[in-house]
This record gives sequence, C-alpha cells and structure tokens, in this order.
Amino acid sequence: MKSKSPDMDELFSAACDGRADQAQMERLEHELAQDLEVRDDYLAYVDLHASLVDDCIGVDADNIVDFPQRSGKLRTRQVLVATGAGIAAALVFGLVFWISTQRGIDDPGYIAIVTNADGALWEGDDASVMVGSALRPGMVELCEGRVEIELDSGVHIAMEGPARFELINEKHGMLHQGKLSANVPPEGIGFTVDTPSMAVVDLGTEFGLNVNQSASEVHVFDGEVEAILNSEPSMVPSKELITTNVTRRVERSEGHFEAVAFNPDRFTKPPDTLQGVTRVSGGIRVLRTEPETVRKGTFQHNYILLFR
Amino acid sequence: MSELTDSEKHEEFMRLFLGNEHEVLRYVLALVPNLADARDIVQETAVSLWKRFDDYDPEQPFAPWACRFALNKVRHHWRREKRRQHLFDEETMEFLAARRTELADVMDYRREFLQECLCKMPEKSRSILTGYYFREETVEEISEKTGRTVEAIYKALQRIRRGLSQCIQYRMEADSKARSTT
Repeated sequence: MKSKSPDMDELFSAACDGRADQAQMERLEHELAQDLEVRDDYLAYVDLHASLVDDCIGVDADNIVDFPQRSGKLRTRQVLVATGAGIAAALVFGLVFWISTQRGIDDPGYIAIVTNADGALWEGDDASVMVGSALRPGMVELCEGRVEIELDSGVHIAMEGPARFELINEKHGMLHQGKLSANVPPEGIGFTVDTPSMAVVDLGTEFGLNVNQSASEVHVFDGEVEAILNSEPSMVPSKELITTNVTRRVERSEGHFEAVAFNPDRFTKPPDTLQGVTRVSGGIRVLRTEPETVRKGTFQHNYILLFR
Repeated sequence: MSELTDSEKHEEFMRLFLGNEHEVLRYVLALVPNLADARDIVQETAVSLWKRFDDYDPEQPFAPWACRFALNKVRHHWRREKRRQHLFDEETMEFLAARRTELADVMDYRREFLQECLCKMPEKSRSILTGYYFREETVEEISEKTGRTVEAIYKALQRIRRGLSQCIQYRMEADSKARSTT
C-alpha cells in the first residue's frame, strides 16, 4: 500500500465517484485480478472513501442535532453522530431512517408530517404532497383515498377523502367536510377539532368525526372527549362528555346533541400509534410506507424518518 | 432474539445495526465503490437483516452476520446493473472480500491517522468533502454552489483523497519509526 501510479489513482477515484466508464471498470477489474499491490492499494483507497463518510461529520459539527433519548438502552446521540449526514441507513421496525438537513428541526413553519398515503389524490392534483411531506398550517384537501398525518403534538390523524381539514396549529384543527379520526397520546390531550356544528376537545382518546352538509357526528372509540356546541340554545346543555362507544350527532339546523347508534362505516379508522422508538424528542417521525425516494431534497425538514 | 418483546427487539436491533452500520458500508464499498449505490445496498441490507433478526445468534458478532446479507445484496445489485454498466465479476468480488479480511488490522491502523490529516486540510477542500460526504450533495450541486465546473470538483475530490492517502502513509511511517526506536 505504498505508492500507486497516477493511472490507478484516476481509476480508483472514478470508480468511487461513479463516473468510471465501462473501459475503466474493465481495466480496474483486470488490474485487481493481476496485481496484488493494486488490490491492496484499491482496498486502502475505498476504506479511506468509507472513512470520510464518518469522519467528515467532525468538520461540520454544527449540523448535528442532539436528540434526547426516551430509552436508556439507546445511545441516541451516538446514533446521530454516526448518521448525521443526509441519507443514512438505520432501522427500527425493519425500517430505514435518514435525516434531511435542509431545515432546522426547530423551524416553526412546519407542524405536521404525512406518515401514510393510500390512494391519495389531493386537491389540484398536488403531486408534491406525499409520504414524508411536511405540512404548514393551512387547508389539507383530499379528493380521494386515505392519508395519515402526525402532528408535532404527537396526535395522529387519519383522513378519508373527500375531506377538507384545516390545520390551525399542532393541537387544533377544523374539519370542514369529510371523515377524520384521531389517536391522541397523553402529550396531545386538549387536541381540539372544530366542525361547523360543534367543537370536540380530546381528553386522551381515540375518536372519529364525520362532517357533511347538514350535520357533524362524533364517535369515541376509546376514552372520552368533550363536545361543545357552536350555538348556545338556552334549553339544552351546550356541552357534553362523550365516552367510549357513544356517538353524538348535531344537525346544523337544530343545534343540539342527538344520540345515534354507532355505525362504524360512518367513521374512518384511527391510525395506530407505533410502539418502540418513536417520538424520542419530537425529532423522529414514523412513516408507514416507504417514500418514493430517499434522496436528499425530498424532505423539507430535519426529522429522522423511520419507515417499516 | 425471539424471546424478546417486539419493542425490545426493535431496540436491540437498532443498537446492533447502528453500532455496525459503518462496518457494513465499508464492506459494501470495497465491492461497489460508488458511494450512492453502496448506501442504497446498505439500506436494502438493513431491511433484510430486520426480517431475519429472529435467526441472529446474539452470541456471535453482528458485523460478519450482517456482511453476509450485504454480500447477497451486492450480488443482486450486480445482476441488476450488469446490463447498463460493467461491474466486478464474482471472482473479483470474492478475492477482494477475502483480502479485505486479511488487511483488517492494517486498515484499522491507517484510520487512526485520518482525523489528524483532515485537521490539516485547507478550508476549501474541507468544504468540498463536507458537501460530498456529509451533506451528500452531488458533484453537480457542489459545482453550482462553488461556481467551479463539475470536472473541477471531480478532480478536487481525487486530489483531496490522494493528499489524505499520502498524509496517512507519511504519518504511519513516522509512527512506525518512532515505535521502533523506543
């Protein structure tokens, strides 16, 4: 491994950077087969090439984000130092994770990320929204299909098109139309969804909402929510605590709670929350399906993304 | 591994994979030197490893087990890519993998000097390396940022790696000499 000719240096470099043409690769292969010294030089060269992936991190330490860990078993800081570059491979659920370094993790502009999309067709045929896309406050309009979104508060919501949901902040949204369900972890308690007829405040639960032209319905799958009427008629209570497997409907024209039998077809199924290494610091998001591409630039912020 | 709960299994797998990920990348790069392809192969390997994690014997070291999966992925990669570009044949791959194992200690020794050599590097070179290896920018992106041609960036990368190789070699020899005189 002492010296190599400029010729070999060019071959090694071209192979490492993916710019070697067929003749160069054939030549390299031939040299590797014939000459033991070339073989050793080549192995030393690619080992340096591999080492630079790791060691370059040391020269750009500002880009490394410290993630507090949830479990004492995981040395998360080390994980990030080891993989802090753009695409890195690591896994939890049989999954691969990577970081996009385009934006800081504290960027206040984004409050949610699309974690799953099944046959989703967005309003205006917006092809830029896909699994892994970050969402700012604003209207999410789904023409058809189903999507799952994780808000920065830890709340997971599922929407079934056609639906219009306005993301107001990480703990507040408004369902203008369609079906939505939410799975709210303890840190997301207080998550509120407004509808045209009532507001639903979560008290730690899974619930579903269905909003159409004439009425809004809420069903609690597990736990309880507080539902508050938008109008305040004097003769009936303006709010109600709704518990597991109870459905309430509010007609826009009537403005009071009405008990209706639970029919699961009227609600979309809430997304599961995943067990394991999720929500370590707010800096990790779990995607249920593999994004179309893992190349840098696809994702707009600095989360570690996991998918299974 | 099967006696662990799912959550424990995830964590154990993550710990093992992350601890050995770089060794797997090194192994793959020896056989597929193109960094972008090698990274893809490591990701594919990771998914296979997780699927077969129940078969892993915790008494055995993880890296050799993982590298066996990586080798299969490399073979798949070759079969897939052979049509569009020439890559190493099976025989070349086997002797590279074998020789790499023989040289493991020498490689470890060389790596000890890399960080020192990186510290001595001019800012301009360091910024190219950071873009290419850390931020995973393409040569085209670096070219656009720096206002230099794509060809110039390729040449710069080649020159930087050559300089680092020479620096490591020089320091290794100096270190050996110092050790032999004490």
